[in-house]
Amino acid sequence: MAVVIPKGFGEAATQAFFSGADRPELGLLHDPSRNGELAMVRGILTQHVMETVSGEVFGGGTQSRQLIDRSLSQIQTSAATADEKRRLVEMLTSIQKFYSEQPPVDGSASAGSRGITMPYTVREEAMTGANVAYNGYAHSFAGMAIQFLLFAMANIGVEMLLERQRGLWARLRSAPVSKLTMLSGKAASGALISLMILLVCFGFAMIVFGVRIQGSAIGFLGISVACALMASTFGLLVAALGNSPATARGVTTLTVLMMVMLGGAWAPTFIFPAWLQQATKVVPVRWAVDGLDAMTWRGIGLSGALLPMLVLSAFAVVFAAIAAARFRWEEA
Amino acid sequence: MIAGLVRPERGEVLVDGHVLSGDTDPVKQRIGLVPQDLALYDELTARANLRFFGGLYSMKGRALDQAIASVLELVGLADRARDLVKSFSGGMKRRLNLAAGLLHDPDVLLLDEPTVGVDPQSRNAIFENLEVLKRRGKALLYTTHYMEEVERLADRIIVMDHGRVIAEDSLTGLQSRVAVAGGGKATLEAVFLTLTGRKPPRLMATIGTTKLTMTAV
Repeated sequence: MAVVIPKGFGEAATQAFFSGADRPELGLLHDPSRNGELAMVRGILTQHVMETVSGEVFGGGTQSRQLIDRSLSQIQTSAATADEKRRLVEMLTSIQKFYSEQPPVDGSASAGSRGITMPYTVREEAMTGANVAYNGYAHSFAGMAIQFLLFAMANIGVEMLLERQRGLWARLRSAPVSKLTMLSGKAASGALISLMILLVCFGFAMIVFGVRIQGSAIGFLGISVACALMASTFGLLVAALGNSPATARGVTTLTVLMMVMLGGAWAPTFIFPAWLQQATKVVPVRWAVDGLDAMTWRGIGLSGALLPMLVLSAFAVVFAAIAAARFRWEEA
Repeated sequence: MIAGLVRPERGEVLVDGHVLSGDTDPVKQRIGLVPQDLALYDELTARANLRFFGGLYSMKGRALDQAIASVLELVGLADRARDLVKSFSGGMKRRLNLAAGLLHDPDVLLLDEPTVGVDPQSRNAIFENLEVLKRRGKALLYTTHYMEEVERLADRIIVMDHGRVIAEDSLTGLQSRVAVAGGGKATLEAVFLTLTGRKPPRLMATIGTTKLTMTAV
């Protein structure tokens, strides 16, 4: 970002203050990917230029005295009526007299004090559970971790289809073990793997990128477990609904990518259109990412973890129920 | 159906007088299944595979270790216990497949074409294992397309064609049903062809749809 200030900018800006004619031009050179910073610089420039120029015009500085003198000399040749000319001369003469009775001012300090200033002050306060600073890595790692574990669990679902194809399920079912036990075993092992993926991802983020659990550690653990259960039952769903390993792999890849995209794993959901922010509440990834965000950089306490945990657990129950009802135990 | 994988539409499966019912029926402890497919985890070692399958029958600790050592010794894979299954030859996988079915010491062993695609040495090794089991008093229900295997192992033979039982008898009893020129004994293949009413050239093209089942008690 660079600001190009042309020669004579201050004088030209003062002269253009009332007339609006011949306004000098400021150049702003910027990176097109950083529009936020462009807006910020534009605001800062506006504030400071207006303060300085208005102080110069109204504060009795050299520029303002010259402006009065020049205006007085130009009044007689202007197109105004005689009455208007008389009134303007009286007003400018009064101002000239006022200036002459004031001690001469010099520099921007005194001029600025008499110019336009911001008529308010701003007190900024982040709406978080604790006084914490935003850490973008926390959101990124939440999204990445969810994506990793969904892909890992989808792969376990495809592996289950391969096991059925290879006759392994026939051997398992010949043992005195219920179908529920077998599916629960798969879900439990998947959940354990998912939990490890999540914890390893966040462990790395904490060590390397300084991500911290600013909210509740118990809440973070609870959401992690709920995420792991949701992901592992999603793997069962893949195994239950997939016709063959090949087709399941293709469909699952697309499904996971859509889920993580709409769930705010790639880009935060607050940049989505309002209707999409509401619509994506049906995507479990949304609750997982929001929950992990709440426990990390947002610094919200245990109460902020309860709803995401509940919703993720509900998704896990629904996925598991569908998987148990639809799972085909024999190869077609 | 006998292994509890498919529920019978009618009738019931009795194992030593006990009706097989439900997935968790303890009677299933007395049945061992050796499926036609190599039902093994390639990424695990032979021992880890057997530990997992033993766990399904509630086996653990020292008893499981001893059972694993015993079945690996029986199938001649004791020295490969720590090797990954994916490094095994087809014949070795077949033998480990058999070992997994024997691990919990079942009274009845269901063998579905256990020698398909196996080299002669491995097939002979499997036969020797089965003969040992037969001498130990195990009941073997063996499904195969190979007549010479039946002639070597079977005490009682059930001939099935297109899902229907054609005949049930001992080897000698079946052979006596077919007259042979010169008064000699008919081969089992000749018996089979005669019982199914097909001539040899035509049969050779369709034999794949026919299964021969025998029990050795």
